[in-house]
Amino acid sequence: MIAFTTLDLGLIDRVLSEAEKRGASYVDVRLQEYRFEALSADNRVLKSYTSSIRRGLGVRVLVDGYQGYASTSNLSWSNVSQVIDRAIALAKASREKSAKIEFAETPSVKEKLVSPFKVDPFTVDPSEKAKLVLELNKEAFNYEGVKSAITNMGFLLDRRIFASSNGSLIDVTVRLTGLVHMSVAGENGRMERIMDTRSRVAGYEFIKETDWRNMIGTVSKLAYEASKAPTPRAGPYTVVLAPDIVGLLLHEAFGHASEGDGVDAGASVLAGRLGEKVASEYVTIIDEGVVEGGYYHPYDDEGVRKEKTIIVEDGVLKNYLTSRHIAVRLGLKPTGNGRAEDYRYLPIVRQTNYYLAPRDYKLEEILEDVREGIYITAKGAAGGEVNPGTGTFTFGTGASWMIRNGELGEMVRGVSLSGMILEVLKEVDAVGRDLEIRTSVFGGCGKNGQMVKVGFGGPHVRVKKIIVGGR
Amino acid sequence: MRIDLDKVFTHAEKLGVSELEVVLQENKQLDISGVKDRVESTRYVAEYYLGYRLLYGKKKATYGATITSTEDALRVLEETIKIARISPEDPYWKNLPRRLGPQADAMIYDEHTSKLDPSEAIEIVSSSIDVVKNYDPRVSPVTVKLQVGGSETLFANNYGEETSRRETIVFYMVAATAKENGREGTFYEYRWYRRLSDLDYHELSRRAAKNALDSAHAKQLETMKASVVFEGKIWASILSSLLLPAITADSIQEKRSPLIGKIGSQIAGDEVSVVDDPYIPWYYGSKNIDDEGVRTLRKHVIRKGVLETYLYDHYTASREGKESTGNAYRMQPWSNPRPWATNLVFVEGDASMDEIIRDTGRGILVSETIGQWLSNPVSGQLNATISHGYLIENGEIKHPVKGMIVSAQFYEVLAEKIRVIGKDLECYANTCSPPVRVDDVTLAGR
Repeated sequence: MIAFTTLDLGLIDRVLSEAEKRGASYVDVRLQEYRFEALSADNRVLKSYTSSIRRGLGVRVLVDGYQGYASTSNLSWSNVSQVIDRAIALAKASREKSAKIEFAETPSVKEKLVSPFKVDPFTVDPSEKAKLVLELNKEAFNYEGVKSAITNMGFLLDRRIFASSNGSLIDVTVRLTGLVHMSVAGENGRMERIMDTRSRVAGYEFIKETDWRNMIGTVSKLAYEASKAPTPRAGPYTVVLAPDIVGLLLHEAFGHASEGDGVDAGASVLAGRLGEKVASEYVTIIDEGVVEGGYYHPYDDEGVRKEKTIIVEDGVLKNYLTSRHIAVRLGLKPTGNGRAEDYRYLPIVRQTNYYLAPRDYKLEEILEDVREGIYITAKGAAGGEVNPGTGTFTFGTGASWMIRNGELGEMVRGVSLSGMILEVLKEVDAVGRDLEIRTSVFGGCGKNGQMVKVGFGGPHVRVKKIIVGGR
Repeated sequence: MRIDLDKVFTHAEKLGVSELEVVLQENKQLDISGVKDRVESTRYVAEYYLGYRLLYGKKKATYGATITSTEDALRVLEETIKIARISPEDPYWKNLPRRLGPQADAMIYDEHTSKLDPSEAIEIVSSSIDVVKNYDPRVSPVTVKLQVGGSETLFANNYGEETSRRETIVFYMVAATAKENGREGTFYEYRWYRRLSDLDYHELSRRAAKNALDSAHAKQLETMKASVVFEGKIWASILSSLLLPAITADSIQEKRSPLIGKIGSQIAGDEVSVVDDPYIPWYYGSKNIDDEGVRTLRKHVIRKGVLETYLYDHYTASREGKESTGNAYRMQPWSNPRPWATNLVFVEGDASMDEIIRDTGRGILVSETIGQWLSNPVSGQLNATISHGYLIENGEIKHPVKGMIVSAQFYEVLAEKIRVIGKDLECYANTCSPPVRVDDVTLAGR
């Protein structure tokens, strides 16, 4: 392992006091070390074993109420000193065209936290990891029709130290471990891909304890089945969403629109609707920093503790997600959602672990009233996107099955679903009891050019009407 | 910052490394964001990256790091060696590219863009906000973003080869929202450039404002079959999700492309030609060396409907005993390279957008989509959700539409359903296209 002597608190103190000396009325510093390791086994060959270590520092200042930000990966003092000057110069340069920025008051906090893990993946013998990922990849070829298979194993360590001129010093280290597998199967030019993935805020023990062979077997069988399956007819359907895809629906259909920066900018259809009914009474939506299965986010990148935020309660819009600046703009409290991809970026309002609270339906009860519909899972789905101002959202789906008279029928290929933010959650008429929240070491959520780790989930859900793309 | 590369190569040799490739990148970026009526954030980033691709025979590791000194580079080297030593062999590995350096010039570096004064960037963002504000009282600016970056990347290897690439990049985005009679609409306009002087922010801001206003009146229609006219940037984004991943040699060799074995076959109508062109001046994907330092080449990928070549980097080319086509791409300076397009261009026809619309009986003009990247390059299934479009009836634009899913089999479209190819290229990052009309497409709606 490489020792980084420069990730020291002395540097932080020096930046804080220098920036104040040079005219900043408020300063915060984010010092970060980010490690990532990815092994990729592709058709029985270890194609790449890639590691990276990035570290750097970002300085945010307010000068006479105007904001400037600069960052660098070069942590020598002469360079860091220039970064402070640059942040201050940018704050001054924006004075004429900018408005003053105000941050909501937050308590000064000193805390050091490390996410739970048993075995640090970065200390595990690289040959053990390489051997395992290759073996798992080969497993896929034990199934009929599999033409191509790729298996990636990933490990992340993200240490973020936040310090500010109001006395906060928060040091959080997260380890995230996971595996993703894709099988491509088919015959006579009709091919389909299915993938599945699991990640956990944990160490290497998560790799040891998970039954990957079972996951890879299921994926391979589904890929072959899907290659022979028809595409459903296009149009509106009743759909039942599996827990692995409910989070994606929620994230796209509601999560982004509930982010306070969009609300402030007038680019969200949820603006001005606090207290209004925006979903059916079955719908309660929560954003929470530390939750089983999700990403580990006890504090945001502005030193605000992330508590449990209720966004929608029994169908009524209760709150927006905010950063310190957006909280002031909207007259709300900061919710701990000011997040940055890394030290190179300013925090913006982001979701953390966004999920639908469970109710008491069993899956059989959710299915039994459906005359014709589609049961949809995430296996093979690649993500989603939303225009929160227009209200249109979409997301891809994976392996799916027709529902006929309350029972699962033939398989159909994964397609795209689309709906309108203010309509779709009003169509939810059954919510299950089987809550499941997930995060991913490989993926993330992109907004304004920044990717952050998120978690999302929910139980089985029935949506009376949503648009399904198809033939 | 300077790294003593001789020291790095000598140290590697001493430790028995058989091949070593070094990528060094210095990256600077200025980023101005405006929100509603004000400039809200200004940001400056300076980064120094190091990437190694290192081999013991056929055992390989790649490693990346932000570094401050030659000592850092040597420490990272030793870590890389530890991993390479235990890695299983890659049986397809031949060697690193032996000859680096360009064969011609590509225009991708602009001095003014590289040295842009922050106050000029702030002025552009602030003026964009004013253009949107002044367009119409029903329209307001949402956000404006200007990112201006410059980088220099050096590629070197233990065969004594060394070359570098200096470039500038501009990304601009303007979003506007409109409210009228309780209805709302938003439109995002965004473009990539190599130099600031190509950015016409007045025009883009006006377009965002106009489309936002239109979008407030958008309707969702019932499921139908109709013609679809894709604006150039939209068709380019679809090519980027469906065609590009299917023509890279790794997708072919690893059996994840529907175009396996199709070289020399007619995969599209006669009117369809696609080139990979790294030498178009000031285009986003232009470059005279690729991300392994190998010279780039202009080539037809599809000529009059016939598939002529896949895109190769050095590794995939040497697997087939071929020369690299100069298409190596690295996501990060330390990533393993893979083949990707330079500028992938759908070759223009001669119809203007007005002519295309005039000739369309019933169809949808698509101006903005979301989720087109969810299309499936393995099966060829095209999916894109229209977040902004217009209904065309009898050659005339009737009203704005939104919230419909375009679904089609992409290769059926290429082969049988493209009716008109227009003129005037628009780019979505490194894929470019003129407007294209496709007939007989399913649109899922209410």
